[in-house]
Amino acid sequence: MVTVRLENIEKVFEQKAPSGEVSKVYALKNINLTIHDGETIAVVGPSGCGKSTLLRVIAGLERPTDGNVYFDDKVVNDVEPKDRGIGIVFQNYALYPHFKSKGNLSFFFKLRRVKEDVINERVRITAETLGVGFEELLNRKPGQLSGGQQQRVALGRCIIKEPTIFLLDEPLSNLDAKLRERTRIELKRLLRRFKVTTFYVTHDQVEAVTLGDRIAVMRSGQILQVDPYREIYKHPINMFVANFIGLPPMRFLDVELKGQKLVGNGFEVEISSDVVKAIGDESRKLAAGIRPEHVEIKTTPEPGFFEATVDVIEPLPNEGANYVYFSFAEKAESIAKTDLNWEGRVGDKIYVKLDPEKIYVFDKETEETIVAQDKIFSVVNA
Amino acid sequence: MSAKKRRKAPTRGKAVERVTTGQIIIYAILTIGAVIMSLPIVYMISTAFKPATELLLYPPRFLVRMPTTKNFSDLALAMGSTDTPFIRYMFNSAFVSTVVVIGTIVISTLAAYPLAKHNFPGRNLIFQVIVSALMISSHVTMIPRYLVIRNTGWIDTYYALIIPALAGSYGLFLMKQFIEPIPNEMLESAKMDGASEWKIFTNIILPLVKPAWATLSIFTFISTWNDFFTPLIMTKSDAMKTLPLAMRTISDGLTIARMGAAAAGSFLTTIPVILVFIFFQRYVVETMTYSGMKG
Repeated sequence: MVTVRLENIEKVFEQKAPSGEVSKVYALKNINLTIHDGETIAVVGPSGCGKSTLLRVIAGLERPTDGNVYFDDKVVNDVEPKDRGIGIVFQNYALYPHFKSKGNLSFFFKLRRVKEDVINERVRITAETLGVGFEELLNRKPGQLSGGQQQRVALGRCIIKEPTIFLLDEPLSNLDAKLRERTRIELKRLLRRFKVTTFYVTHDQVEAVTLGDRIAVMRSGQILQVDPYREIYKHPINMFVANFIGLPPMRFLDVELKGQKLVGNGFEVEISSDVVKAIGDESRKLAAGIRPEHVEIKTTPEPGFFEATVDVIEPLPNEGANYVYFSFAEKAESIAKTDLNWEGRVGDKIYVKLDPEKIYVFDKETEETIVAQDKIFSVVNA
Repeated sequence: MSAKKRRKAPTRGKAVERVTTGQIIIYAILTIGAVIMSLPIVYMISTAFKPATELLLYPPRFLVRMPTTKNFSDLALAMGSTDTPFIRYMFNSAFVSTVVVIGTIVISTLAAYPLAKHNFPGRNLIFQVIVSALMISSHVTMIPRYLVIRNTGWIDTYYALIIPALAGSYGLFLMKQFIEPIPNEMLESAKMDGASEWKIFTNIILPLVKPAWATLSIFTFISTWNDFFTPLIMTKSDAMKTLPLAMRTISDGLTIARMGAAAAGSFLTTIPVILVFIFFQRYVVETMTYSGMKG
């Protein structure tokens, strides 16, 4: 297996406007990333952030404008895609519609003039790996297969080559929710079995959490944070990551530091002296956030609790919880997590307390995290 | 026990689809349209089999009452009065049309692939220049084309009839439009599998553009077969004439007696075109409605 290392990768596209003016689009900026031997990195980010471009740079389908791609210690910038030992699954599967499924799997070997009996054996082994029902798909063309079946054939075409690196570009995004869930588990099983270095692009957090050993969060061509999910969820490096990772997305509240408290519109939270020290300047523009499970709500007033109104209740039976969306003061809203038995209704008055030890504080201008629950990030004071 | 006749189980035929009034109206309109469209061909066939008495009737009779094959024998006679046998004209037309069709398909597909799937400087400009030629009538370019062919020494040869017709912008345009929707990921997949550019072209692109070939074949064959003007300008000898030109020569300076022969000649000239169209026409629909690869 292989360790993939990206060093100072930059990718610039030139776009010509109808007027003739040429503008530069920085699809990737200063990317540094190591995918360890046998590890799965799940890359998440909004559409257009550069996830697929990064995948294509690793595959050799795009040449980086600057920087190097290493497989183990070897620079592979000039190595052809076919010689990189890569198995790839595209979002739309990219199966050859005029070949049957077996033809799709064996095209790689036919190009190398491998003997028919060797090909048949490899197809048989792949069919066994991919489980029940795969052999029935072999004599059908892609047009005769459902989305899920096409996805299995695409995976088969990837693994039959016995690649040293898997590149998967949103392979589940065209499947319905139920099938996506089933396929996700199957995919996890395969990745665990083959222990192949994997770069998995997705916009779905659940997929990223299930499949990734680590998650890389991208935005506007840059990797913001690479960590295991728990670490990113608990200690996001900035407001974007805090909002992007975690469902439902974190809501932010404008606050000011006043003495030993964070004071917002209609609420205040007492904080520790370490947090006060980390913030430093009372004139600093701040935003506060909190995860729903660290918000306590009561139906009667109590000291330390501020008043709010229930806007939306979202039951999630498979989590055994409700998400209660509430608002208070002007344009201030947040979310609390309660158990399914909670009896509140939309429009009810509730009383809310934010756990001061679990609060997040961000610098509103730089969007960087100052405090994330128990972790204080060292930031330059404004 | 009385021999009771075994009652036959009621046969359950195919479920009859309910035909709506709207469908009846649509089919009626389409049928009328098809009949109207076929009138010229029916009239031509009918006229080819009309005796002289019916040919000269006024007002003209649409359908023949007393069909005869005399017009065909008159045609053979008229053709026999020239030094060149009829079969030679047929051969010229068939040969030129077939070579032009094959050449057009090969050249158009080869040219369309890089324009559709490769990014290189000047790509858009090249395509726009080629396609803008579609706006120019062939009659406008006839004189410069004649001069080029004459200077090349190809006048009165097959080269004059074939070479200028090979690189038509319509063919390039059609093939490019057909190749463009092929997902790039499919080609990249082939690249990752180890296919060279040529293998991608022959193993992936070509099998997928075959429906477009059928359309291009029909249009190219019909336009080349029916082309009267190019052979008129580019050929001098009788032996190099194509069928439409030869038919026209017979029709020119017509005596009334030759009208039947001319009608028979038109019929014979049209048959290959109709046959080609019938053979390839289902692919035309496939080309026009082709929505690219599914998922």
